[in-house]
Amino acid sequence: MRSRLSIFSSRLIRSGLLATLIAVVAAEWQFGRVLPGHYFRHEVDEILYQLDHRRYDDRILSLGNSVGRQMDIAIKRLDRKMLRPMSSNAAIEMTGQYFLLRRYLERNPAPEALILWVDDPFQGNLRLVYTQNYIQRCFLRWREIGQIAWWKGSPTFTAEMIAYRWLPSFRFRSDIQKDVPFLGVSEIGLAPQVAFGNQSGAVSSRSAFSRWWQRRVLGDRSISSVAFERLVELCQTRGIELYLIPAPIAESVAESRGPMQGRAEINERLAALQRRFSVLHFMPESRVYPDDEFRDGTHFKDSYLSARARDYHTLLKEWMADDSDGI
Amino acid sequence: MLFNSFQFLLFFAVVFGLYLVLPHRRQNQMLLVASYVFYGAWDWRFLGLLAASTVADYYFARWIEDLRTPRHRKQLVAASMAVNLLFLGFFKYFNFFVDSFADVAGWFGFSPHLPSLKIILPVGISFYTFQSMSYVIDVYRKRLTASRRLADFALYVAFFPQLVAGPIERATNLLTQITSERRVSSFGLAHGGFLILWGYFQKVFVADNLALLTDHVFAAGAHPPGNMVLLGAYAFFIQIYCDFAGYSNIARGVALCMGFRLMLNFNLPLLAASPSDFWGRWHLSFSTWLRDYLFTPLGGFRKGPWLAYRNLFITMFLCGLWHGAAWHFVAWGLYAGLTLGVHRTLQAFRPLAKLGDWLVSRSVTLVLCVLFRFLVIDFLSPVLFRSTSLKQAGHLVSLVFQGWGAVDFDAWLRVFFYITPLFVMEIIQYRARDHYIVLKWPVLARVAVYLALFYAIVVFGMQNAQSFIYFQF
Repeated sequence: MRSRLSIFSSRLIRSGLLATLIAVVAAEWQFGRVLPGHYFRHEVDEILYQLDHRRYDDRILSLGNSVGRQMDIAIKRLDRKMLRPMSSNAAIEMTGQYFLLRRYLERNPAPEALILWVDDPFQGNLRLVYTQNYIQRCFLRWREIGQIAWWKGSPTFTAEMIAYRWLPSFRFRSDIQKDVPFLGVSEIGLAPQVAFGNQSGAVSSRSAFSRWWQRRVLGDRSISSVAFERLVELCQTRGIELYLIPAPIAESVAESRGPMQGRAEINERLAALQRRFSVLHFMPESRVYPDDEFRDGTHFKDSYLSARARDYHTLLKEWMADDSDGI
Repeated sequence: MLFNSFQFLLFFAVVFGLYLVLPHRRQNQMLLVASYVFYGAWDWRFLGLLAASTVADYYFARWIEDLRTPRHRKQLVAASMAVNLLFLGFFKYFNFFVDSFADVAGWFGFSPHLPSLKIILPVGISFYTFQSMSYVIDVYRKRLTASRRLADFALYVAFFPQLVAGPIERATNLLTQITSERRVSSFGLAHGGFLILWGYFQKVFVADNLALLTDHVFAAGAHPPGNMVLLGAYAFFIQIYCDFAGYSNIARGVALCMGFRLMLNFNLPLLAASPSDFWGRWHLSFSTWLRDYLFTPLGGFRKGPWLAYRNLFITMFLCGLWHGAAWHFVAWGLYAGLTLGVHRTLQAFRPLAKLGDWLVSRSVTLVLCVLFRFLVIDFLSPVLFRSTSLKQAGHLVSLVFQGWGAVDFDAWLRVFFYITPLFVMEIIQYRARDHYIVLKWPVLARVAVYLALFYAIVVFGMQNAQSFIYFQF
């Protein structure tokens, strides 16, 4: 009987598997240099690329969800020097917002203020169907992968992130497919599962191990809660005033939600956090606007955007000039 | 836990790492635990069923071996079959038989109130039940001595690479490998690695991409033009082959990496020249099971032509029923039986084939036969198999005869894009009569093939793990 060490024989080396591995490593290294600057699937790809390749020196930085992104761009049109718009999407949850701030501070001086457009900073466990596309594909520094691995406690989730890091061709596969005309990939789904009808609660299931791990590491807090606390802590350390703004909503949405549904609890938690971190300021309620100003109940129609941007521009100016904790 | 998921890759990395450092006996124990974890990842509630089936057959086989009286041995083997078929019948066929009985009663004007249970089909039950049954029958036939270690037998039934979708192994092959020492070798890793890569290519590049088209054609209430029905039928034929053969190849590759040799399950069936040739290449572990434990005991071809046809139809009827508790599966099995029967009858006219060979070269005849089988004979098979009812199958076939319709050239191009590399590789393998021919090529050519397969999987393979079709059987 031959020894098990025969797997290390020269036969295996000659089999071509090793040469294939070397060729893949070389090809992926090259892809890693070319593809990230070539394909931008969504705003998070773009923001991350810019953060890696440009330098900023802005007084105010804005992060947050897609409504925030809409407002940022409109406010920027009104007042070019007011802020640096880096709001992206609610799908990146607070984990993504925290990593974005960290990346910003790596290469740029700390801004005086950070505007954060977010409805509930405590909600999110990286289980949305969009998480794969907005978190796993995007935040691929070892530190970020390690941090998420620790919070999430899912080896599979982590392995997918490592695959995206090591294989840029895998990370940009849909974009490459889009370049082959007859494959018919005209639009890249932001959450492929949705296309296959997997929308049950729009969240993925968690393994028993992952649930146990999160209880052990995070207690009863969500991953977003922990990331948000880290973000506030970072702001406090770097002297950045943090302004938390819930997205404006349509009247019908406000009515259907009912008075203060869930909001009171969020505000209590924010107030508790505010007692620990003086840089935190928050707006306790969403502003409510008529239904016909919204194109989908959440995002403003273009025709109303500049008027509403003006509202928020004024609000922010007043708020930042004011010394009180909230408005 | 799907083979085409990161979860499985991690699982196998851990299992393989442990396998490398453990001695033989511990390897088996670890593999047994891993196999139960693998199965429990789908639904832990069915672990009990797997264990019960294992324990029952383990003791049945031992009792059968210990008994001397043929009558008692026969009674025990019948009891074992009854237990196995009871499990299978309840979980897989209960509602089918109840509904069918109600339908028949309805034709005679009765409307019985029969129970209909919400039964979840345990994944892979048909596979491990048949594997376990073959063991008891082989012990009864004295072709095998009963295992004296429950853990070894439990591993034979639950061995994770082939637990949920085969190959349906025989104890003479797998159990003997479990009981003897194996070695992890460079041969096993190189060949296993190729099988795994090829299996993933078949599954995520070919099968899952073709599924996007076939799901559309076979969707409930769909009314595709005739040309799309044809394309959908042929595409589904290739899809189900690649889905199932892909799983088998990954299973064989994973096992081979650990030193286990599982049986060949698909021997290039797309290139079969006739229905008999096809069934000699398709799902071999199951077709040989049917041959050895059903067709031959019924009398096979030995008892005259009419009984031979009867045996063929009974076998193929049960083959259809094994695939699913629905009449369209039964019709699919009977259609396969019909094509086999007709082919057997036509084989009597040998001069016809010889005339063909004389008129055109033998290789041209072969190509024509393959094309005729694939395009004409096997058009109906995928339609019957993939449809959700006989009514839908009939509707789709009627659409072909209602007109060609507008041609979606991109759809045809897409199908050719996904199947061309498959056919190229299989034709090379077929001509060389060697599934591992690539491993004998010069190293640069081998690397080129590996790279092409790897990037086909990574860049063009379906992103989200799709379940294997045969899990439902």
